[in-house]
Amino acid sequence: MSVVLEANAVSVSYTRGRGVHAVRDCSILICARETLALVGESGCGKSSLARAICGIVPIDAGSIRLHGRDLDNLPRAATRAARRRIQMVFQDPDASLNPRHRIGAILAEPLEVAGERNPARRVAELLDLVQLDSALAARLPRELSGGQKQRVAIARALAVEPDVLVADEPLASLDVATAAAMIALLRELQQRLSFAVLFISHDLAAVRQLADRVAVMFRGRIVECDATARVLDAPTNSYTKLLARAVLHPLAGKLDLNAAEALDREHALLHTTDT
Amino acid sequence: MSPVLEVAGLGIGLDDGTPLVQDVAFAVAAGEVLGIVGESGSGKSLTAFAITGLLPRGIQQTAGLVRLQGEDLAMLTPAGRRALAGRRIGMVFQDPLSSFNPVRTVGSMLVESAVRHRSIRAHEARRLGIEALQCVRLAEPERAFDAYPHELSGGQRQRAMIALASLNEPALLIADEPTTALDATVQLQILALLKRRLGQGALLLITHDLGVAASLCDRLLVMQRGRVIEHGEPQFLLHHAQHPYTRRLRDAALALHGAAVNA
Amino acid sequence: MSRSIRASRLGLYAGVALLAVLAVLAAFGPDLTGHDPLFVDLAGRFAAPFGSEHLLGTDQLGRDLLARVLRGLRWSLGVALCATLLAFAIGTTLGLVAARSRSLAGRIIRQVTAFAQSFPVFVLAVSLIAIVGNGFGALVTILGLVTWPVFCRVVQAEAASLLTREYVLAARMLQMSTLRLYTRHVLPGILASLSVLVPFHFADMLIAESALSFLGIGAPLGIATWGNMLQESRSYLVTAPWLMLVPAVAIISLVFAANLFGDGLRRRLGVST
Repeated sequence: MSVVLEANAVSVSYTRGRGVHAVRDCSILICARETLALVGESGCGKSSLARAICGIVPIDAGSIRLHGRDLDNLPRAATRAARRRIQMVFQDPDASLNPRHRIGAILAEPLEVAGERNPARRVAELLDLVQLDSALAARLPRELSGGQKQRVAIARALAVEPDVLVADEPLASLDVATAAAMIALLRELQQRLSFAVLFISHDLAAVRQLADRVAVMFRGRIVECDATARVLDAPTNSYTKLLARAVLHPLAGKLDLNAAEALDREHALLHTTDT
Repeated sequence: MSPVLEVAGLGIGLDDGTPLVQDVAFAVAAGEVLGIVGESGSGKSLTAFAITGLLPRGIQQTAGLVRLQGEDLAMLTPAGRRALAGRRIGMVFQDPLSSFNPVRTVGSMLVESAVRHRSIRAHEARRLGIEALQCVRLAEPERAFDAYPHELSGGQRQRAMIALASLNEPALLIADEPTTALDATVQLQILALLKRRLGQGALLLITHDLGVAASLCDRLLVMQRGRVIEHGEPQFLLHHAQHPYTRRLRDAALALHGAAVNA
Repeated sequence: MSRSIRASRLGLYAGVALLAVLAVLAAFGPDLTGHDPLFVDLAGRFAAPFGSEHLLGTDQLGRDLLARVLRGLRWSLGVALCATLLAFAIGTTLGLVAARSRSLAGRIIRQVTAFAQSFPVFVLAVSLIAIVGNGFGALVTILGLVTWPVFCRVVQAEAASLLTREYVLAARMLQMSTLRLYTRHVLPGILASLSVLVPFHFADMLIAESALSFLGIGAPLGIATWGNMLQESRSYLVTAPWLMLVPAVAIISLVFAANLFGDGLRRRLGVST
């Protein structure tokens, strides 16, 4: 399989030059049509890495390559064209759609920017793609449900037919049933349009459903990366082991308080040991 | 023994009469955890707001009665009802950042609550507050005491929230999606903490996550479109769901967890 | 409809109406009075208001007060409006630059803005006028140049926060031009706060202009303005109090109208200040 996106020894710091690294020396590969999940607790750096890949935050060291070309070492116009091949879906659909623009205008924007002459027809196609009624084009974001808004955000990202879709906790603000529908939609779209997905999530259940491979991040580093079932069912890293133990299965019965507290202690210990 | 909380025939509606919640009835005993599950819009959060008397403007309780430790809350004066929150009812919300006052330190909120509800002096309240932060296992309680909410991580804020909610040893603790924004390891810690802090109180846990509900609750209510459609012991309910909506919720949750642990 | 919404609407409409009336008076008023504001009539000095052909009376040189106050209105409105627009244009442009850029230019703008917050700009304006001299153009330029940080600060803060909003990030990832990004996503988002700032700034400029004229360094000699009318009235406070009352009421009503409008607009747009 051909490698689409490659992050090589990437470091990102919160404030430039202060040396506080959110992401330290992280390398990941994403192949065509593949879904790579990036999991870890909040503050572990997974969102920073995703944003660095998207070019929203600058990287301190390392390189991001798309189809083998270093995105920071291209002529300006080529960088723009290449960066457009990576699109993102955010966690909060309320914040990711301009509240003043109608759905039609939101979906037409990427098409206009890409030079499409007749965006109206494509807008209807895009809405159809994410299984929404084309009549929604005339609505404002606030008139849509959370799930509908997230579908619009996906449609906007797919409008420019990207090679990589970066989805940063796209299910976290949704109901279980809506989230399940969203997972089914993402899988179907990926089959049809064959883009690669970088799926950032703290929800291991969703990761199991979507991802081919999983990269686990802890304190700014990638600590484990392998096929989904291998990582989730037979983790080798001590943090990944904790994470797998912490998942609450609906049929698993009552929480064992002592086990939960033992896990808490181990977790705290991991945070205080030097890496 | 009489239940801590008793809700009977509860109805909630808009000012124009549109019903939002109808005929909800349940009771929670001391030391018991009752879960209310359902999707957003099912009325589970409104039910909690009605119990605390904090329904949003334009929405009101239209029927039924709410008894806390045998006392009909409708008989209380509005001021008496407001005083319930913090003293006899503690509340934990999904996002403590938006429910905490951003310009006040965690400590000042703890002290205010202790002084108002317990008529003690400020320095005693400070000691009590730091103790409470210790009880929720915040690593550096003194530092957390003087911190502003935005200076804490999500998990730490939720711990501080629990410390505040349980400070005055309320008879009833209401937790509305307390772990939705947190990752698995932190979620587990917070749930364990809720259970431990409960003591002799009753806990009403509102969640859309069946995994969370099953891990903590003694009994579950399933709500859909403002009505209770099914209730029972969690494992029994999940294995023998009668209502198609319950089955759908369960199947969606199990699908998310994949076939690996499917039963 | 709640009472506060109704009250804010009332204030907004009253402010608009008052400003409109004053603008019409400024445009046509001076020609309708039939008097030259500069015509000296030593025989008709200190005519009391409502007594003679001079509706608001005459001053110590027998000049018609109504004509003078209306001419002053034209001057004050002109100076305040142009100075506000200048400050708005400079402040908004620099604010947008400062919000985005991590460059030296952005840092300098932020430093200057922060410094201007704690600097007595009125004193600066007085010194600058002392150097370059007075006149309409000079006054507008100097007032605009010393007060733009007011707009810059708000624009910079709001734009910086908007630029981290996810819908703006999504727009950036489409690699659209900076012009499109700003006109489609950033400017519309800060327009509400900006438009509220304008009437309040306008009121400040009115007061500043009157104060400068009062000090004798605002308008050039021979131009009737409210500030120099007030200044001249001081000697006749007891014998002819209307000389002071007429320009004072004029200043107060214009500042009041601007504030009423600004406050109504603020509530209407839901902007907190």
